Amino acid sequence: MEKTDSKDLEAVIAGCKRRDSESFSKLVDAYSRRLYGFFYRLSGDKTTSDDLLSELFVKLVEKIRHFHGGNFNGWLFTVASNIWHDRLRAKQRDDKAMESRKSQLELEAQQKRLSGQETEMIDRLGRELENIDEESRELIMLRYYSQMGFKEIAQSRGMPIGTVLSKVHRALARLRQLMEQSSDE
Amino acid sequence: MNNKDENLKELLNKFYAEAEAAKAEEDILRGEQIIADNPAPRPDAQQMRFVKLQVNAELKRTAKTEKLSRWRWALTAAAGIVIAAGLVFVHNYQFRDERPASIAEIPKANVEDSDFSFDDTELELLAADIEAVEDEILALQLGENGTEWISADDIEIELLEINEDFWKG
Repeated sequence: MEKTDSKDLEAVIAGCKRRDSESFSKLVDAYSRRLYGFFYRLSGDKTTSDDLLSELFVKLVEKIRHFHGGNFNGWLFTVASNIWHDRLRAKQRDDKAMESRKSQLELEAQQKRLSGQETEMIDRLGRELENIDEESRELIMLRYYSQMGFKEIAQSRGMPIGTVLSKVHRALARLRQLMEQSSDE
Repeated sequence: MNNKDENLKELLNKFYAEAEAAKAEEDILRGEQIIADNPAPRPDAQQMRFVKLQVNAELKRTAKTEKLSRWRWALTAAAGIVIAAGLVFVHNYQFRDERPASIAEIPKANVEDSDFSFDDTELELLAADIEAVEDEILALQLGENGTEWISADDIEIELLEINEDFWKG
C-alpha cells in the first residue's frame, strides 16, 4: 500500500477476508494504480488493463482467504501475474485475432507518427518495451510495481535467483539503450 | 519503486565480479529510473467505480451462494433425520405385536425348538471343532482315552489354534 502502514493493511486484509465491502473498496483504492500500471506495461493496452484489473479484484473475493500472512505485495502481484499468464494463454488460442489486433495497433501507431503526435500520443516506453522479450519484460515490471526483491521474485516464479538477476539486468540495460537511441532520433 | 530492503550491491557481488557488479547495479537503477520517469496511465475514476461495483456484486453472489449452500446442507441433514426417525417409527409399528415386551414372555418351546443352522461354512467348521474338543474333554473326564493322555494345556493350545484359524478365515 503506497501510503498505508502495515497495521492498516492488516486490518484491510482481515476485513476483506470477512467479505467486508468497505475493506475491498480500500484495497481497490490502494492497489489499483500499481496493478493497472503492471497490466498496462505488459499488455500495452488500456482496455486489456481495465479488464485484467476487474478480473483480479473479483478473483480476490475468493482468493484473499488463501493469503496467510507474509508479503502481501508479493502475493498480490503473483496473483496478478498468474491472471496475466491465463490471459496470454487464452490469447494464444486465438492467434488469428491476435495478429489482426497487432496489425491494427501498428496501423494506428503509424498514423499517429505521421500526424506528428508521436511524443504526446504514443507511450515511448511502451513501444520500446515491445522490443524486450516477454519473460524479461514481466520480470522487470514485477520488480518495479510489486516492490519485490530479486529473492522474492525468484521464489514466486520458481526460478534461480541468478537467472532472475541476469534477465532483469540485461532487460533494463537494453531498455535504457533503446530509450537513449529513440531520444537521439 | 524498487524494494528498499534489498541490498542490491551485496546480491550482485555474489554473482558478478566487482567491476561487473557495479556496472550491473548502475544498469538496474538507471533502467528502473526510466520506468519511473515514464509512468503508465492510471485507471480512470469510472473504471475504479466499475471495479468496486463488480467486487460488490461478487461479494453478494458469494454470500448468496454460501447461504444457499448452508441451507441445502441443513435441509439435507434435517431430511436425513426425518427419514431415519420415520424408519424407526415404521419398524416399531410393524413389529409392535410380534415382539415380546420382555425375555420372560418368549415361549420356552420357541427357544427349545429353534433350529439355529449355520449358513456360514466357517461357523460350521468352528462348531465341528468345538464339538470335537468337547468330546475330548468328556473322554478325558471319563478316563476313556486309554493310553493317549491329553493334557489340559494341549486342549487349551488346540482351542487357541482353532480360534486363530477361525479369525484368519
